Amino acid sequence: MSERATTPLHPRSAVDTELREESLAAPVLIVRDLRKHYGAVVAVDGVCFDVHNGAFVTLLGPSGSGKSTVLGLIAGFIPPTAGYISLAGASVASMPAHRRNIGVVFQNYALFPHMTAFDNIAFPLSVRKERKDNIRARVGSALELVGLSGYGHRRIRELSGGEQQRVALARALVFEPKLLLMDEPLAALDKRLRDKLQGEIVEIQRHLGIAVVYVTHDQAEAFRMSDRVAVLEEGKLAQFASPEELYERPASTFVADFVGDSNLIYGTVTDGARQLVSRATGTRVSIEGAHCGPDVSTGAVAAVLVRPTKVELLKADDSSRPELVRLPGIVQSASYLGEFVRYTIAVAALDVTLLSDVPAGSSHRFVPGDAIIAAWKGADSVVIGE
Amino acid sequence: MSRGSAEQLAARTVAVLFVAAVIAFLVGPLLVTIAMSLTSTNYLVFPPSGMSFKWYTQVLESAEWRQSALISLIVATLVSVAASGLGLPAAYALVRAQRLRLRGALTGFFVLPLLTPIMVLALGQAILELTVGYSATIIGLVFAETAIALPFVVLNNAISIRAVDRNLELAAQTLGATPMLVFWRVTLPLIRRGLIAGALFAFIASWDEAAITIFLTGPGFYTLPIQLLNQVEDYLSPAVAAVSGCLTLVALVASFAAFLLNRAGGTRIFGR
Repeated sequence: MSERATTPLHPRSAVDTELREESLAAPVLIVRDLRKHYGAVVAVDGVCFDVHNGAFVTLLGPSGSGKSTVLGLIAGFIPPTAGYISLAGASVASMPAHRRNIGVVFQNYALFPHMTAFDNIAFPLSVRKERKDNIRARVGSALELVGLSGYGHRRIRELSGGEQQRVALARALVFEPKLLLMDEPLAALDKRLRDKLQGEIVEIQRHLGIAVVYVTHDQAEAFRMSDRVAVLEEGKLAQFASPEELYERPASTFVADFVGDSNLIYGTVTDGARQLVSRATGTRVSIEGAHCGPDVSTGAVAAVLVRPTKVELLKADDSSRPELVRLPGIVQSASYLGEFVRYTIAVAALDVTLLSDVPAGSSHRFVPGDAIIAAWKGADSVVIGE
Repeated sequence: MSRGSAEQLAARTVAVLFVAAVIAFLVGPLLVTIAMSLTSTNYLVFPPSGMSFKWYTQVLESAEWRQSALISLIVATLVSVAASGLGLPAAYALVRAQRLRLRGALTGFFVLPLLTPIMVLALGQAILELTVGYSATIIGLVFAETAIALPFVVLNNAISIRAVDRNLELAAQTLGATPMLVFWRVTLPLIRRGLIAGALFAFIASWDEAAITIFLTGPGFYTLPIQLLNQVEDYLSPAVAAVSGCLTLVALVASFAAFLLNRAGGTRIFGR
């Protein structure tokens, strides 16, 4: 290794700009066509993605989607059935876990219970046979980094869940790995602490400029922390994109549904991609102006996605703004949720129930039983090929 | 009195009777023996008459008894070390090896000495060692008794290793520790108590082993239990009771230590 860090946990600095740009160009982690079979069960099915230096990438998916398996394959805990993983430009195929130089934070932290916080964080340095005074200095700054200065002498069981999480983070960072893997590290903490630590982890990640692969099943957590999110569905990569793109332009109805509340109307594209014929009732819905996915053309089986925040409610006799897509319906329920009121609307013509989130301060409050018109701008809808 | 508490009372009565029976049949003989060892008469008698430690003094001063006690102690110590040295790697492999063929068969193999009829095992050992020429030697005894003690070590250690969170070992690996270093710095410190408990069980197994030992000892080379048997055949002196008292004491101390370690380590064999 040519550039050995001299200061412990040094932040991204202005020096070596050229070197950095070069390393920015080459991904620190490359995953290609990764597969893991357990007998007949396919846990990971041809996953591909890159992680660039300094990027925060999240693997998001429901339990059983294979996200933790992908992490285990990258860390070297389990051998892949097929595929290619490279770290900092070198294939890891024949590299055992202890030589990969990847920091890992486990869901249950996996702190050594027979050691103090200090000894836990010193562990990666002492197995690398670092000098004693060097270890002391680097553990000290790692503790400072995670806001636990003075906690070094504590036994693990004397630390709270949040403190243990920080010690685990410090231990995974102290040896300056190129990549940090985190497997649902906040799942065991209460919501307030989780929110706080989400911010802190991102802050530390930005400060160090380290690449992170983060695993979670929590969409809000993924969106808050990540530059890019890889959504996994039954071992397959459903979409790899920025949170905004996932939300605004989901590649599949699974992604659309998983990354937020959604209204989906299934059917067949017709009339030069200007209308969709409902599968349930045969009624036509306009998709003019909608953003269309790549495989959407006349005759395609597809779904129209409209987010609940984009669905407006108009009184039944309101005939203004004829440019909107308009569907008559009946209010079924109205729930006050603070920021907005959530309505469920039965639309008989399509045999669907739509969600509509209307800002709580808006002029008119509808009640169940009201006949209304659910409406949205064509440009606010997305047509997803199936 | 409600029905619930009547049932409780009945249950408690049964429990008390059961415990009383256990005490009478298990602990009773021990107490009788120890009581008889304290007699001041020159013959075994119960209840003992008088109260004296003269038989303990006599046993401790006897060269014969002292020699067999020494042999027993050396053999038990070596067995405990040998069984731990063999049993720990075996237990680790049985619990942790990812691609271990015949895991079930291997587990059975290590527990087999517990299930084999002891006299079959003893006869085989005796014939083998007579052939090899190890009969009536310390080495010979250590070989034979290690086989007997091994299941205790393997079971005890396997339980401790299973209780170690696998993620701790994986974490140590990601931090740069080789598999060997992971074992020394993470696994071993965490199973220390189970390891010592297993060694103590092995010690006890050797300490009061008689069935196999009787085939492998000879004149001038007796372990304590065998010397005791010889003495009983010869003449029932209260010295026999005194030796029994000593044997029991050592076994009790070792068992109690193992019990304490198991409890402190949270790796109990029985119960939660």
